[in-house]
Amino acid sequence: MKTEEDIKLEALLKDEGYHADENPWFTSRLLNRLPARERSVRWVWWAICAVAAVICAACWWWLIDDHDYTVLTVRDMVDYAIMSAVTLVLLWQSISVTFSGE
Amino acid sequence: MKKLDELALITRCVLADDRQAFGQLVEAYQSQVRRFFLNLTSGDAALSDDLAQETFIKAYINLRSFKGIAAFSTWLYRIGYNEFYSHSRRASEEHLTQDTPVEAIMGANDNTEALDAGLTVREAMSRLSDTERAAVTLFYIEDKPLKQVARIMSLPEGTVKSHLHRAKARMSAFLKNN
Repeated sequence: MKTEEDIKLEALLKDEGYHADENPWFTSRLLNRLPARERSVRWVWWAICAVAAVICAACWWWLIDDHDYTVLTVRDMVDYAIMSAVTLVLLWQSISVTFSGE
Repeated sequence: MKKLDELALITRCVLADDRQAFGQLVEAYQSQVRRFFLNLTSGDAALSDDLAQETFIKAYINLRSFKGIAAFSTWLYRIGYNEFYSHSRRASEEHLTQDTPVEAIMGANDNTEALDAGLTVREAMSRLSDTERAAVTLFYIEDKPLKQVARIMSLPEGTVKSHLHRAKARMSAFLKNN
């Protein structure tokens, strides 16, 4: 809790203290100085995506192969919805890993 | 910047090494961090920019250790304060080895007659110890609550309160006399 004296001092320091003007070169200079990070995280992420893709393909194969096309149950619809969602997420992750970064 | 946007940018930096996302974080915080250092270094713009650059580089390298429990700005200030602390320790060691007379350092800023109100406040700040100046800057200028100031400076809250109290007394005395 700030006292009245604190509030006065705060106003004085904010008015009369140092202010940093926007420096347009600061960010670009900094980005050029960033050290190269090891790519291990990216490769781990790629490996996870690849394993997930194989599992996903196997699940699709099992789902389609196992399905009785004469009857469509609620469970089938749920299974297809879940598999579609998982596939879309996986695709999105793979695309973002591929195109993000430098 | 909203906390969710901030976390999204941090996630992009950590998972995909996205430097553009890190650039957006730097854009959002560079003014605050540079102002923080300007106040700590008593207006040395070149040194402030160097310290700010080092702070952001360390933040980038250690981004994976950011847990998201504290605010990103608190974490950044903590790195910045440690950077400043290391710098001032190195500088004081160099001063000691150069054997500069204490009177020369103390008397360097004694020309108070020509100072206007703004310079007097800055002069009052520059006469505080590094720790007091950091506490004053974080609490009054950067609007950080006492708990966060304590976390940034790795000190107990009571100790920060003492530093603030002492700094306030010293600044008031100086401002009354000038």
